[in-house]
Amino acid sequence: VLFQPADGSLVLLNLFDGRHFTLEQTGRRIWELSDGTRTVAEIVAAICAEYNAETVVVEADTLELLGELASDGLLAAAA
Amino acid sequence: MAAAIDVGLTRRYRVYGLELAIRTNSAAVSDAIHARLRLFAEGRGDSELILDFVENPGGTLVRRPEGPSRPLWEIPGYEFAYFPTTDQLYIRRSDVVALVCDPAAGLARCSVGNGAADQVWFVSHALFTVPLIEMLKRRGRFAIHAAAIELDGRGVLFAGATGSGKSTLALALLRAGMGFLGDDTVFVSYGAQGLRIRAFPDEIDITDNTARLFPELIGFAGKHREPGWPKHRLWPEKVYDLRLTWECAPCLLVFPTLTNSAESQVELIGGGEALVELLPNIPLTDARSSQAHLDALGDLVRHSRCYRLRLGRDLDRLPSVIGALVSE
Repeated sequence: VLFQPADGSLVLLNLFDGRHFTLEQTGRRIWELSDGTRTVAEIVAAICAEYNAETVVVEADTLELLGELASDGLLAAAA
Repeated sequence: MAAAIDVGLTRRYRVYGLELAIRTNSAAVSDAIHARLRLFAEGRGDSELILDFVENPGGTLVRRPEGPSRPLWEIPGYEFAYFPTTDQLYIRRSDVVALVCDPAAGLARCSVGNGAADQVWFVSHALFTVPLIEMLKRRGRFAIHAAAIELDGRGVLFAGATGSGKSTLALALLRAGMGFLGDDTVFVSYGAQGLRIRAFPDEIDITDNTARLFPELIGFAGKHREPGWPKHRLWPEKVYDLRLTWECAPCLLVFPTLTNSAESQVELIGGGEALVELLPNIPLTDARSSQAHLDALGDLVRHSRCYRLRLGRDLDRLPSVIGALVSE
């Protein structure tokens, strides 16, 4: 996956099929935290702490985003 | 690469500091590519990039690489594929013409079978441009499908697909005295002065409709095109007092759309939106050079103000519109 910041957002590009995705502030942070060393729960906890947001909301948004990124081939589950 | 066949016609060019050799046994192919590179300096050193185009009627075409591949573009009747295991490009048009390119090594070899005379445009355009772009990408020169002009040392890129108005814009502005870098493809690369736009002053391909927009080009409209050529071929230095700009700093990045409205309109857009528009410029080959290409496009967006331009019929007004945007 290729990536490039632009105007506060982050543009992701799938090298294998050209599909792309633009992540805004929180989505960008979720993607940055999805580096293979953290569980989903740890990512949610980090986002809640950084943005002072409710866990139930952040968890739903995070799972939805991770699902979209995975279906577009821009993120894979760590082994 | 295939066994050697005499490629007696060799022309050498110096392109963005690199020595490029075009070797072929076809005078028609040699001349057609030279027409595109005619304004580049002659190369005099050892060739770093070599493209061979061999007419071989009745012979075999260069062999398709082995291993897994993925399509770069999907066009019926053609194959444009990248082979990641061997890091090769492969292009084929039916059973008539095929090319294999090793971009890291700077080598491409194309063979043309029967009916070579019908393939000159395809060979001298897609089969020349695609491997050249990939070879240059591996060497830090990144292509953008855009026209480019220069005003007061500042570059304006008009980026978009075929039919978006790039050539019309380039003509409207170069005839007003602005510097010309290219009407369809230019390159960006890093130098001592940072990110620079680099000229690729190709022939300008014009349609009858474009020719009718400019009195000095009206003679092209309705004229028979050369066999196999989809548009008329214009060498702007023969019609205009051309001011060629070889490189300049980026200033504006404009995404045009042709409309039938009376007045052209511009709209400022954000860098993220502009970067997404530029993504199709990146050939999806090896990860390292593709990321470098994306990094350069990201820098280009950060160094430019970005606009959408709905191009109207007021071509005479365009030099002042663009001039005002450059001066902001």
